[in-house]
Amino acid sequence: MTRGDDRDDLTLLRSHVEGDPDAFSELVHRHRDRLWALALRTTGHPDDAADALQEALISAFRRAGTFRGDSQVTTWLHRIVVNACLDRLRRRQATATFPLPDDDDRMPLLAAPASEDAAVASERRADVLAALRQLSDDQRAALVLVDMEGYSVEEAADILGCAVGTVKSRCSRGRARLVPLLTSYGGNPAGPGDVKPVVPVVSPRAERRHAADPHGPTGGGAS
Amino acid sequence: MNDLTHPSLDDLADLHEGLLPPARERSLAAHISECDRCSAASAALDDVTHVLSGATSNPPPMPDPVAASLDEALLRASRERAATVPSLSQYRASSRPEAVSARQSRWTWVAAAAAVVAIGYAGVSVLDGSSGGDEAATADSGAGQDIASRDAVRSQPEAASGEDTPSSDRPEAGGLRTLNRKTLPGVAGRLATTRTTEESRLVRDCPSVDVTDDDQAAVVRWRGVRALLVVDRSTRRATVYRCTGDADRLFTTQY
Repeated sequence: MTRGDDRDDLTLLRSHVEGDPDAFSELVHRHRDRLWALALRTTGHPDDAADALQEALISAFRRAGTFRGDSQVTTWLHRIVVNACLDRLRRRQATATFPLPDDDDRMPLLAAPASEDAAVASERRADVLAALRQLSDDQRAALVLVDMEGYSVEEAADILGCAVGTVKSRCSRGRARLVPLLTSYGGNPAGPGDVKPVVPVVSPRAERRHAADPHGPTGGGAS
Repeated sequence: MNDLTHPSLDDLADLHEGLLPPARERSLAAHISECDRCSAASAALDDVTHVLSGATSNPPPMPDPVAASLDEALLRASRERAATVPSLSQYRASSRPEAVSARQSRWTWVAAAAAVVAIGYAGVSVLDGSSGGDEAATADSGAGQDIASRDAVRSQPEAASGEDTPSSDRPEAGGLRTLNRKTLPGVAGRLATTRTTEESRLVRDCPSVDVTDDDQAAVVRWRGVRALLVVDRSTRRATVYRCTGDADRLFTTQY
């Protein structure tokens, strides 16, 4: 397998279509951490992420000839991965009756961090991941693409196959739900009863952060 | 929710995203400018975006077991494809040459292969209209073979009687050696130092071909198409270019 290949993504993809046995593998290797992060955030669960990602990339391997070149190769890969993730979540919901476990994704994430910085970074990632999991699948996918991957709402709508207004609405409601989970603003300005209280992040670190904030959660009531 | 009390986070988030009617937008903006609590909530919404985007700067590496499993799956897919294509090309001799471009026919082949898989897996949930199980890629199908055989024939009418034996590097009827991963070291090691007219023209006229006078160059057959193999023996580096059009580079490898 060639590493340090200097061909660009599009050349690699075309070489793969022409029969180069290593080109696709090189392409995946080049982007695999980012694709993994995308799958992990979109599914919220490492097992689903691993399965969906593999399924997506084998699919991409086989249908590379249909890539029209009207977007970046990475965008094309992201589209396939995100939709594979959502497809997997839908299938899971159609068959599973048990809720997803909350914490087991931290095992691979926290395994042997290389340094204290790495440990902090991975714990922060776990906080974000746990918070994202509180969202609906559609809200999470929209926010992952727009706020995390940096796509415009128009691009996200194209990737997800829905209207721009739908993406905006999912992002909006998703951010509102994440406020008490990811920021020191713990309450809702409209007061209790206006929205259902959201389960706090099950992270000691997040709780410490909230407790330590001098401005503190402003709490609920506009009574 | 009414205007006498504070807006909800949903309202504020909708305001940020430009989803509210203009009149509602104006009244909310006026309220926020006078209300510390809503101003803080509004800032917290921006913080959410900030936290999310900040979490991407240091993406979690793919865990080793996931990477290993993925590599294995891709390798399997690659081997299945390699095993499928040559067996299909054996049908060249009985097929009619058709005037289609290399790219079109390749896409036709991919589409046909996808169709074969889809037919094989009818009724099974397939991902986004594409293939399902791994083993389906190797499924023999008359339709797939026919299309692929046309693919193999289209740029090779002069070699249509030759048998494509992937493990052999013997010259074929048209004098072309078949290049694949197994034959590459042998072919690369036995290239003639002189160049044919076509080889000289490709080397001279195609700016995409990266070759020096010390390199060896020869036209070979690679996956059923004519290709220019350029070998730098000092670094054992082999590069393969398409013989048609602008001589696009197909791949580079060590041998």
